Amino acid sequence: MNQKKKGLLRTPGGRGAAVNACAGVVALAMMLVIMVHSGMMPGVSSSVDADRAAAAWREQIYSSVEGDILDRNGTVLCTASEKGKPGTLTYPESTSFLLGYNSSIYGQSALRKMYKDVLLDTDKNGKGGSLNLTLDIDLQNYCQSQLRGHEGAIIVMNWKTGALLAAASNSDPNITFNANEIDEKWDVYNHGDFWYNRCWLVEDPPGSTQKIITAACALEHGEGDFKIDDTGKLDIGGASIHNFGNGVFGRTDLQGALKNSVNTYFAALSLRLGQAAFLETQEKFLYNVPISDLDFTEQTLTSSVSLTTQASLAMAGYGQSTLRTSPLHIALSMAGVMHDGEIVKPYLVENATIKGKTKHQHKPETLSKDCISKANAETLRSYLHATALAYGFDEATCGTAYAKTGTADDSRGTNHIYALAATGDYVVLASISHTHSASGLALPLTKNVLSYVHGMQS
Amino acid sequence: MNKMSSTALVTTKEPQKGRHVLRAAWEAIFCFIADTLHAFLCMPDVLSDMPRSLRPLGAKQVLVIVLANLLVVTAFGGYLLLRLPDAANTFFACSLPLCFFVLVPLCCFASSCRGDVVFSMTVCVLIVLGTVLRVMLAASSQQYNVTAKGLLITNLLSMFGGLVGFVFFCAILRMRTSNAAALLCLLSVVCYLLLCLFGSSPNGAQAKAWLVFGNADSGISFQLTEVGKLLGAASMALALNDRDRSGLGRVCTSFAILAGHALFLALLGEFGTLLVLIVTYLCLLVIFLPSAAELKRSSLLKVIGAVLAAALVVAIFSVVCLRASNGSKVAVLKQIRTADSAQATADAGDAVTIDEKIAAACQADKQRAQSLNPLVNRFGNEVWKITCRFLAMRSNYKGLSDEQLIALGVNNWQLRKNNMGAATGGWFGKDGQLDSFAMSVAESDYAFSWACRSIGGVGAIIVLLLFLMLLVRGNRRLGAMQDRAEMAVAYSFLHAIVCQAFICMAANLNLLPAVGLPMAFLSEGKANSVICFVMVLFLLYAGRKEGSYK
Repeated sequence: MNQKKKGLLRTPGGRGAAVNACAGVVALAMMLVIMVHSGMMPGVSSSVDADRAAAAWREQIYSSVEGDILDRNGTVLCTASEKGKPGTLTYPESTSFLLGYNSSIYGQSALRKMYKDVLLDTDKNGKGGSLNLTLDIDLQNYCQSQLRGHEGAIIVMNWKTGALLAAASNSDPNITFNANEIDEKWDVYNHGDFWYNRCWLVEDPPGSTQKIITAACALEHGEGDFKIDDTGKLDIGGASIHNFGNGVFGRTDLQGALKNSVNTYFAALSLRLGQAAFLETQEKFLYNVPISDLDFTEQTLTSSVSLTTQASLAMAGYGQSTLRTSPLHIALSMAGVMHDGEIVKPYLVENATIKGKTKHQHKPETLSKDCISKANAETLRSYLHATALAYGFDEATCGTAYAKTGTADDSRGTNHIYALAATGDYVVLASISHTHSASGLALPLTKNVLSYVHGMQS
Repeated sequence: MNKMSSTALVTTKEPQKGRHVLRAAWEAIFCFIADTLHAFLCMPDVLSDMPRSLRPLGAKQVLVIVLANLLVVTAFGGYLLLRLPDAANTFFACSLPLCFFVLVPLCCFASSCRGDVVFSMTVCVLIVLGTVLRVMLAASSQQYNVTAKGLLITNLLSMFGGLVGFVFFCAILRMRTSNAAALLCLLSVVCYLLLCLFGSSPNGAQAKAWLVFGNADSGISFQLTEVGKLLGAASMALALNDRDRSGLGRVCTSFAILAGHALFLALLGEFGTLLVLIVTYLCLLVIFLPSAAELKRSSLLKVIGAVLAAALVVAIFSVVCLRASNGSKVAVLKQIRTADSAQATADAGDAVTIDEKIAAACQADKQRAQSLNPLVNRFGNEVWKITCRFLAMRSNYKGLSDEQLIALGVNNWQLRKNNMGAATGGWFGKDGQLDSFAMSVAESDYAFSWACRSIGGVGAIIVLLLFLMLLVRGNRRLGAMQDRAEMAVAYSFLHAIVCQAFICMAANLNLLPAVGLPMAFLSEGKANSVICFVMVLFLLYAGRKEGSYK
């Protein structure tokens, strides 16, 4: 009997039975997995439950008409007409980065992701709520047109209220992002850091725009009269600091140093101020302070600085070293000076209208109250006005302007350049990344936008 | 003196031995060519013999077959009438011609050659179920459409292709086993070379597995790796049953065939088919492993050692290539894994954010690729793709967002959407429009996820049991066969069908990374459909009760 059994196992038929048995065990295990995976047993697997919840949410998307997004003048920026069909951006070239995409394949991004609860909170007609922005679409279009051919960003912000009037971004000089064509062009867009909004999701050294904060620190600590005899070079701890273009400026005070952007002066000034005073002012200007709960990004924005040596302190004084910040934060620094030491939280969403009721009404919030005293702010503004005049900001076209430019080099051997200016109630920042040019390239952009803003105000 | 004489002996014998080997090789090649020519010249004989193998069916038998198939169609139609009344019309329009022109002939063939009728009926149920799923998908999605004409033509063409393939295999089996295996290997190489030279990846597929005739968008595409799979499975089975070789020789030859297929499939990036071949080979090994007496233990250990050493070399080479081509991305992942989450990495006081790290890593890898050896770069990228498929299995990997995973190259949206769709199926399935879920390729690679969604967990379990039934019935019938070579090929086909179905189900259930394989009978796909018919026709014919038809 045993021999017969053994014999049976040697035949393919007997071994086939062994395969059947194995397959039976596998099938039993798979049955259990099917029961969990197909949602027959809710509560057993958290990931399946999450999938069910996500599916329910998508059901809601499918049964709703995406709500409208409007600018400050009521111009429609994004609208949909059919249930389940993503809305269409009216100005895709200038608003794709800001408003984001809505795709049945790739989900949502940017504002359309952040406010999907509002945009899909339907009324009796199945239409979602609308979102009212502080954006001025004409200004936004103008800023975007200025960025053509550059990787960078342009921000226009009301420094009194923090309202963002324009936030133009361009990730690739050769690719125009059109969120309406996301399904067709996903592979074109989906590379590297293309998706990041250059206004606030990049962190680079601020370059000479940092000199505004270093100057504020000097004024606050009674070093406003600090002078040096500039020789064009300063050696600190093995590091040699030069002025831009190896310029030599001789006897230099704070105003002159700002006007001529003298690196050696600000390096010496920050050493004189010392690390504690320098860091204290940086924190007042929101360095190393996380800025969270912003209404235009889910990210917590943090500009950072860490000083370990005298050389790093000296270089931080003129915007190099370990300083990392975003274009928005640089604009906020200028806003602090313009607003007599108060930095108001920036915002983009004025309110939302859901089922005829106003919700999510913006409430002003102060991020920093006394980053600089009123008197010192006034002094600093006078210096920055002189700098603006030196840059060629025309009073007739731009109004009374205050300005500072900046160039910072990065590890790739390219530059991040900034041109920061303010007039009336608005601060404007143009930033261009990964360029081989100096800040002179960004200056015309800021001048054009500032002149546009001045025209808008008057 | 002795030394001299022994040296002289060697020098005089060497040319003789070389000549002998050369003559043997020429003889083998000549024998192979003659055998192949003979097999193809015998093709008319095969065709004329075949009707003699089939017994005529009585009207009563045909009526029973027709009624049984109509019952299956009516049962599924009734189910659809209850679930989706609008789709029932389409289903009947599709399935009634299918029933008379495909299912009934298939069952008649099985009955006529005294094959396993239950097996053929199970196949018919699966084909009808596949039609139900496609009709339901067309009713739920605006992106997918099914027509009665299209479905019938596809199935008829597949059946015709299946018949041609079936006759081909019948002719091949008239050759010597070793020659038949060699011919199949040769044809596989031709297929793979064609793919290497002219293959493409339509619709964003990762593998270079299709031959496209005409325009890339509107032309006809055929997945030639399916043919490679068929030939590979059959040749491995034949090599394992080559009585002219020793036990160890059989195992080594079949393993060498598998390794050859693995090399080509890896080059083409078709890892799904490779996995099917590996699992099929393991099943064939269980069934046809030579007895202990045939396998010399010391030699077997040497072979196992050599295989393990080769596997180790491949593994080391893979790691080296991966680090060379995608080292920066691997480093970022390693950092996240060490910190246990993306957030922890971000909170570790690092000035650089995760997003920046990912962007920098992608840029660094891209730059490095320009100066890298093309072979190392290609191989490393293929290994990275496999790694990405494993990462895609886990949503929210270590706190990384979908955007961050996509930036790393882990494109998991297809799997995520299909998981989402499957999770809503519940016990008996869910109706409603599908576009909100965008269950992509639900008609092919993710047919089982679609089954979970449309006919629920119970329906999905029935699908699983139907495939299990195919395996059990097939193993039982084939085990009793007399013709060793025919049995081997039939076993390989049976296991290829069932293994592919199980692998596909496992991938749809997130138990395996995405393999991009269609499911037999349930998925749409021309090549898959043809190959399935070849396998089923051969299985039914090979599983006939010996002697009863003579």
